[in-house]
Amino acid sequence: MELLTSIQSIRDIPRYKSLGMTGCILSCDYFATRQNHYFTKEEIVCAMQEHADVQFYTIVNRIFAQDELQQLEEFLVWCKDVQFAGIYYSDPAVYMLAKKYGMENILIYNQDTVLTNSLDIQGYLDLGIKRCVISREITLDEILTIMNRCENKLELMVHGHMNLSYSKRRLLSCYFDEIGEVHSTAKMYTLEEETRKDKMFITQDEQGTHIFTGTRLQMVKELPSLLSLQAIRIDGVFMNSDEIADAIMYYAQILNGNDVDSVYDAFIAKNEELYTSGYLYQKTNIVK
Amino acid sequence: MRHSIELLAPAGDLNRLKTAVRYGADAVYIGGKELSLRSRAGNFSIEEIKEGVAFANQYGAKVYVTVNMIPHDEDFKEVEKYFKSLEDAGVSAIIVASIHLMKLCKKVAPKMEVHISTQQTTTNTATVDYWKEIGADRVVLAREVTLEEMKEIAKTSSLPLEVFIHGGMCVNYSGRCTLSNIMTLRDANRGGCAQSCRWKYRMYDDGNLISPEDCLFSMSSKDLQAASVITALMDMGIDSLKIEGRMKTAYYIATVVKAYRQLIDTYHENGKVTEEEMEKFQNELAKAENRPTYSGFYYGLPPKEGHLYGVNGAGVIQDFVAYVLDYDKESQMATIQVRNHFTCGTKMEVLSPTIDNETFVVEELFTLDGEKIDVAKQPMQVLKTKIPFVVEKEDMIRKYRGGSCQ
Repeated sequence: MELLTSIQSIRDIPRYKSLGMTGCILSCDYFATRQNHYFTKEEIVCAMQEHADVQFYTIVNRIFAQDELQQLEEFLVWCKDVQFAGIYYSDPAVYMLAKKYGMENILIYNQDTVLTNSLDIQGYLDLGIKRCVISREITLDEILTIMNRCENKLELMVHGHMNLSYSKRRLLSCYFDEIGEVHSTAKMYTLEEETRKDKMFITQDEQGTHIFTGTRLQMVKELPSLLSLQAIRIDGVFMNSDEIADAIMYYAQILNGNDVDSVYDAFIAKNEELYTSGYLYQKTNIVK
Repeated sequence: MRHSIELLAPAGDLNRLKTAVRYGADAVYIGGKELSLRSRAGNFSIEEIKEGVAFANQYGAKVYVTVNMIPHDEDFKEVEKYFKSLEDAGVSAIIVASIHLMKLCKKVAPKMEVHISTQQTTTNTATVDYWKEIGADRVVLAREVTLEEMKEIAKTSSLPLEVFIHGGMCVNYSGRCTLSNIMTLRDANRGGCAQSCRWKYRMYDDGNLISPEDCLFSMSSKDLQAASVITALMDMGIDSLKIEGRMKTAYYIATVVKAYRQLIDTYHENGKVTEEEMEKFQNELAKAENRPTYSGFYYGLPPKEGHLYGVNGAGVIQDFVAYVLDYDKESQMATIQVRNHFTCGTKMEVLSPTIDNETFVVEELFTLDGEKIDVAKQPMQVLKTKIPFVVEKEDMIRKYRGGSCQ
């Protein structure tokens, strides 16, 4: 099983690798969104040359407007040249243009909300892509069902803040304009619904507005039941370098066969209130 | 070049389907009992769908069924049987978001077209081509596509295109929001959306409250109203113009469908829509508004004027006051069924699929026993009143608001 993480600095790669990371995600601005850091093409090439024993992935999760397809195509050609191990995508346009260059077999479909069942996931895998990332809005039982029924080309985000919504609108800019105050839109703010205490994070970038959970998903205890996944991923958004290193260490310890309860106790003791098991044990099927 | 274009209306039940068709929809989309995103809309049984299709076909209209939830494994029970029964009922197309359901429909119910839901966020021609390759017959574009982008997509689109022109707008890319899931355990992509985006939120910067209490943060978008771009959409070759709102009332549907029907027909017949005509159509649409409207993304990213602050959601329209049940031409007495409070002396307007809107003043009101009354205040009460021009059964009576967008 691959243990992947998005990173903030190329300098972190040796440390993460020594802790058990097998691959890292380096993404470029414009083509990726919701990342903890964006790298230039030159930085990425440099890192790949320097760390030949690490698998490198990139994220292309922009939703492309018609006049942006040319840039996408050029970027994919570059991706092919530098030989990423995988490219995460959510807009099918990426698949269509990658197919043109015979590189669909390195694509990883990561549309956050639609990969919720085995039949759809297998349908996407049948397109010849590398793998699918299972959506987070489903229970552990549902994840295990998908793992049983689909080809073993599956990945799961096991750790990090879950993004809850993606709007093309500039919701922060509009709101600050409405209340007549000047605030930076290039930072993270916290939202609290007027009748609730749960917190959410909100950010805005050139691609729109994104909302994340205030708590951090973790699946340390569940990892032993997920070992047949092709890859698990730590999403490092809103995490600092040390927090990412910690997460890698704990998941790697489980993968190395350490006692689950001991690892979990050590992990959770650091900051129990920060973490959530997401939807693993909670169905979201209320409709009335 | 003017293009023959479909006006596609929503309906939450059989009555609303019939209303949409009578007022000029070329096609109506409805939810079945299975796999539909609007669990709180009425949703149709197979028998009701059959009746709806038969009614629509009398007018040359089609019926589409939404099967657009993002399913979990547990949701697939008896889907084949369901698709076959929809096909047997004469449904022309299903609207789907699931790649599996799309392929399955093609296999087991091939007479039905498959339309790709806006839940799949199609914003460019490469993605349209993708759905074409997979076997789709039509794509509903994302609401985030601008008019200029739409024009470019339409030039080379490999599939017929459907676009939204009116109604509620998700503030997020449709299908890419789980706010409702996390806040209420209602799955936004399986029919349970609680519209948490329209709630009010306090905003903090490093722990410091920055949102004023009288204007908390909200992600509520104004509804879409796209009358001003209809002629452009017809010129560029868009195939279907979609009105949102399976949960909206029959009155709303009648008003909105009729206004767009007249706008489309005016352009089709005259080759132009004058400023006066456009103002008239927009005024009509305003009469059905229960939330302020904006042009969505058609002219670019919505500024703050495209959003609602300090307003949670839809208000209640009370202008629609009665249905016509019967009309006696000799006595000019109409039998009406009351829906909202009104009094004698009120100026009314009759909304009908067959005549231009006409006005009258309620001079007198009578119960069926002949008792004279001054106020209609009991919903569903049947009364009689004089209307000095011919009206038809099921015409709607509403309070007259003149030409202004109040």
